[in-house]
Amino acid sequence: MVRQIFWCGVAIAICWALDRLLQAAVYGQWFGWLTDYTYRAFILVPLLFITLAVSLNLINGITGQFSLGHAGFFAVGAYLSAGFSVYFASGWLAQVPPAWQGVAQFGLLLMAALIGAGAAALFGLIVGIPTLRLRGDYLAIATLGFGEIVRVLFENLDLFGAQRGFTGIPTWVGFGFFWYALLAMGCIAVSRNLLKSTHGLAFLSVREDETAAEVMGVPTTYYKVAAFVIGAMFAGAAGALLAHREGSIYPVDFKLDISIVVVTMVVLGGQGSITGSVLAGAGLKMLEELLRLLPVVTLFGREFQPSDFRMLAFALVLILMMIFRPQGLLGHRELSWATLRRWLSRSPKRASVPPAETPSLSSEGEQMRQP
Amino acid sequence: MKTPLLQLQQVTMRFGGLIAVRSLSLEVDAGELVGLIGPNGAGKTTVFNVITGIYRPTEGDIRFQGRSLVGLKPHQITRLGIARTFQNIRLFRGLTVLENVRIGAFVRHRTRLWQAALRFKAVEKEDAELEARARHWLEVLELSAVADVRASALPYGLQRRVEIARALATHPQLILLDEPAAGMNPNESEELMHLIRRLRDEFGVTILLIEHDMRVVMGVCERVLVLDYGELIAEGPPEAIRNDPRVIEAYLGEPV
Repeated sequence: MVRQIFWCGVAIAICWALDRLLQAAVYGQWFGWLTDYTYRAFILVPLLFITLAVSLNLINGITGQFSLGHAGFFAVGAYLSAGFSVYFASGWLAQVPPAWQGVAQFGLLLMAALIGAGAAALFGLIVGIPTLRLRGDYLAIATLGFGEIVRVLFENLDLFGAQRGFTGIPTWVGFGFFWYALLAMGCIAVSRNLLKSTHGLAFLSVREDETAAEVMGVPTTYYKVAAFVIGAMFAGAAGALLAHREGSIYPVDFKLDISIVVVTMVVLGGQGSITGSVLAGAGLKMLEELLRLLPVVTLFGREFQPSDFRMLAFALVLILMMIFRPQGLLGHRELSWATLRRWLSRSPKRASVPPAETPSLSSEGEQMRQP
Repeated sequence: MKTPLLQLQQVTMRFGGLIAVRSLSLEVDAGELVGLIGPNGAGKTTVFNVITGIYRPTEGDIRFQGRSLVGLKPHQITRLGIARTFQNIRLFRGLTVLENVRIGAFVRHRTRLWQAALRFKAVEKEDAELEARARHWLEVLELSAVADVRASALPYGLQRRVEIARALATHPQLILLDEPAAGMNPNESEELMHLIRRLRDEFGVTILLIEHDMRVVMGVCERVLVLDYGELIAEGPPEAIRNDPRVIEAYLGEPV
């Protein structure tokens, strides 16, 4: 217990310190390029997508349950936590004496995030149940349907602003880096802890061969549902943070595109690789933002915004990956100090042979998924 | 009278119109080394699938240590002490040999998932224990050298051994081996026979095995059950089975 509290403290301290530093840099205009816009585009949004990618990696990559419904969990977390804040928490906050406003806000935001996470986890449970029966493509279709149902539901609920969007959400997250980074760190830490333990092997065994896993004594149903619940929980918390940072959320923020982009990140990073999801999650989001910086192009007498090429670029990245590195950036491996050292010390001749394809009887496998 | 370790009572397994196993009754006592033979399609693997809970028998009862297994999930049956290997090797191909065997050992875990998510001390301790158990079985099966190799990269014979190690790591009292010698050369199957005897003598595991290699069956089994069209047509010590006219007709063929 002591150790867990200690590391929580360390994470909070780091995030808080970096948050302060960034605030000073952005508002003090230390660097010409670090504006409020670039901060949001290149730091905050990538952090959010790191959380989404790492949490989906738990479902898609590690447990091998192809889910296209991550935007649905994201939306549930965002809308329900926002509903809590708008309809209940704001009223409570108004009754708190001014001296305690800061503390109360912090506590209420934490509560809202927990409600978002809890609600999404509950939906994860609900979606997880059909996975007992569905596999592969069928599961993908079912989860896709779930995501769309959730979006359409919020689009039609007046309570949540319907198509006009849900506005007037208290922006308690403020600058944002602290909360976003803390959530991303928490999500990475939980994934890593799971993967490091023998329980993590149980998740992996479901991906590798469900029948064999069951016969080896792994309660596969339990682990499949658990993957959905944990993954959904973090996506829900991410949604809660988004809502309380932006102050307004719209059904289009949770379109199928989001699910697909997050799946792309997991596949690109290497199914099951946490660090791969982190790299791909941040990388793809930054690539998207970089594309926005391109000039407007006129083609066939029509003007194209640079961001129109976003999906084209994603597709290109995926196709290139399928050709040159079908197992994803990191394959099943993790980026660790040990791997880095090995890569650096490797002679250029050997570097041309990716080790994943040529496992030998030496210690090659050792690098697999070590922290 | 002592209750047998495993007892099938009038077990019938029907797939639509096909009767794969017909009213089969058999018993395996603790410490026995029993072979299950028969022509292709006789229902041998179905018997294994019914015992391990992959199929629920259409009729009849299966008892392990006097306790009915019908309706239990495969992982619950494994927990009770029955392990198996597969005819068409089903290792976790993307994982290392050690990880494969650790998953076998996982059936005896006590920690909860949320404790693992927060990396409690108890989880670390248990991980170490489970890994030690897995390494023990790698040692016994002389697989330590390939512990960190991806399972799919191993030659066939070694993959079979990893499957046995993985099954043993679940700490079974009864182990079901589905054609353990398939695809092995004479040398390898010789080693396998030695290993099977050792498992029983040294570790006290009861063994029920399906095998087509008669050298292995006759060389290692103390009792042989013969299945044909889902029915038990003969049962007895290897010598008697070898000379049983019904068995010769159904399966072995005339001695050359």
